[in-house]
Amino acid sequence: MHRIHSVAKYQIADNRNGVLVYYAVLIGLALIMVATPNWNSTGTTSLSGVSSMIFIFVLGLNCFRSSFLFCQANNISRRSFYFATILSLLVLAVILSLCDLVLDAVLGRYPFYEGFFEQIYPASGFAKILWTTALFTFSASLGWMITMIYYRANPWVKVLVSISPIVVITLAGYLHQRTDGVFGYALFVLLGKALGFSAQGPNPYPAMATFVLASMAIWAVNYLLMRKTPVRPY
Amino acid sequence: MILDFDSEQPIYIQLAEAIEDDILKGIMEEDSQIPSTTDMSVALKINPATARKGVNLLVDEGILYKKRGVGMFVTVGARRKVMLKRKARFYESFVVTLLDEAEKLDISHQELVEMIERGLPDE
Amino acid sequence: MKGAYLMSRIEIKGLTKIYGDTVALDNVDLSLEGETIYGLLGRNGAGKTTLLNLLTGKTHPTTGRVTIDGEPVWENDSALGNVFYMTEPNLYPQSLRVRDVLKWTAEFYPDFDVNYADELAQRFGLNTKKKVKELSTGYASIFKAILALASGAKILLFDEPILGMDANHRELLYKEILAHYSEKPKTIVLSTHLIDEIADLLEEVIIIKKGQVILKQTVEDLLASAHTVSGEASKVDSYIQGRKCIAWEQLHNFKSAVIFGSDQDRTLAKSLDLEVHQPELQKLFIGLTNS
Repeated sequence: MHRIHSVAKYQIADNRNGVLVYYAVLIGLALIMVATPNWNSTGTTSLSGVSSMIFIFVLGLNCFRSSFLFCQANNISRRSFYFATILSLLVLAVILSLCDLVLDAVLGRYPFYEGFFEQIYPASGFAKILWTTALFTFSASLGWMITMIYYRANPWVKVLVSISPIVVITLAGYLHQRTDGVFGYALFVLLGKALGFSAQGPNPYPAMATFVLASMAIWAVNYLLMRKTPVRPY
Repeated sequence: MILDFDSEQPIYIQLAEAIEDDILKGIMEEDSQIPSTTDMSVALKINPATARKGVNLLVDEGILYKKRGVGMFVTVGARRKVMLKRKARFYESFVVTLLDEAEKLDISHQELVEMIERGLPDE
Repeated sequence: MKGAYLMSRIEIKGLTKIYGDTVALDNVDLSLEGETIYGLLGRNGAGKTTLLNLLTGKTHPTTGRVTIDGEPVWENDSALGNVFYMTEPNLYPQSLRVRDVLKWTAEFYPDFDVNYADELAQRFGLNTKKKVKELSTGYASIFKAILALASGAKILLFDEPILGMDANHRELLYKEILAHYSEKPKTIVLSTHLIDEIADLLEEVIIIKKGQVILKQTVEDLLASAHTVSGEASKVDSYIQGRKCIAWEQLHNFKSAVIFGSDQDRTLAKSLDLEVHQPELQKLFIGLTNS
């Protein structure tokens, strides 16, 4: 336990500067918007949500190698490193969603601004924190998984993984055509359900469940990838 | 204290002899403290166990003695003891080899005696 | 002399590591008692690093197991926490400053001695404000060695510790290792193919050749079990007959040979008008690992 706590502490400290710079940029953008007369008078702008999701995805992409090697230099087990990584990504997800909440609350007073979450769902407050945390956790875990697959893969698998999105999209397009649009529609409905869009209106809770389940599935994959992971020095 | 690491003698014996040399030369005085085995080990870059073994050799011979909690001391009368020991060995280690070498070089007894006399300081 | 509180016994049983079609380590049995300075000696590629990597769970063994005080090391923080392994490659975050690495190492090793680390850094002239990636090879070695010495771990493994260090730094490191060991006896393993300088630091040697441990003995016993004879070639040759000769050199009619044999053998050799010497560890090592 002691080790997990120490490693998570290191990983969070390691990302501190990145998070600070990220929010400094967001605040800078917010100030520009506020200072510009008639900023986006026709629609609404959001700084939160999507950008933070991408940012934490990048953090996830960078969370593995250097930190893992550092842990190996200190004879820390892969298991402890694994749990510490989950812990630190969760903490980062909570920190980012709280920061987004504050940013949205402050900028929400301006007519041109509406937070990403508010644009989709009619709820707010607690549901919002849970939803963004779940989303960010999923996004960070996805980044972590991709980086782990690349770390473990040999050159052939790397190429395979790299071209897989194209293959999937092409295949989906093909299926869509062959099924006279039924495939695409079914996918659309499924995704809608997963994100809580129903006839009764959007509901953030099913989306939260989806993100949590997806994150856990990724962690299971990462657990397998983590076992016996070799040490590959710089 | 200098050790010759290329010598055929094991290091711990060399260490013991180096300490004896220091006692003979008066660098280590009787009843005074000598460096700890740790200090010797670090200074000479030898394993502490080797240093201990060398020192213990002299402790067994009564040339050094341990004061509990203080350190290692030169026994009173150690200088004489070392001298007697070395003298007993002098014939074996120096005279015999000297004669061997002289024989190889065809040095006559007369020449040998002259050489030794030449080396002796004037009385 | 050997205290029980710091005892840390490493037990290796039937350890094998196969990479593809190379056997890096071949069914090794070995046990290391506590409070000894060991030399892990072998030529390049003999399997020294593989052994150390398996000792610390860096790689998973193909078969066999490693325990420390009875606890298996694989994925076991409590067993691994007893060990500090100075690896040859630098595994530290490249953009971290040296002093930050010291700070974090103290977080991971509860017995880490920050003051001692600072003192060592000063003595070696290591600038702790530098980033890891800015260190030269020699200073990277110094940096890692300082972390090991200050870690407070009961078992210190050094893989090629003097890589890139100049003569002054090497001398300083040897002295620090001895001083540290005298003050806090522990298990120290120095793995290297450069034996000349460390020979006298060692109490025991483990010689590894082509993935197999061919010898584990105290330096004293090893040296006592061998002797060098030299003299006229024909005399040396007839003496060698039926004895275990591991190395020889001949210059014209003069031959010298390294022999494993007893004290009686030495006496016999002397009586045959041969010169008898104690060989250096380096010579014995070369003889034993040649082929």
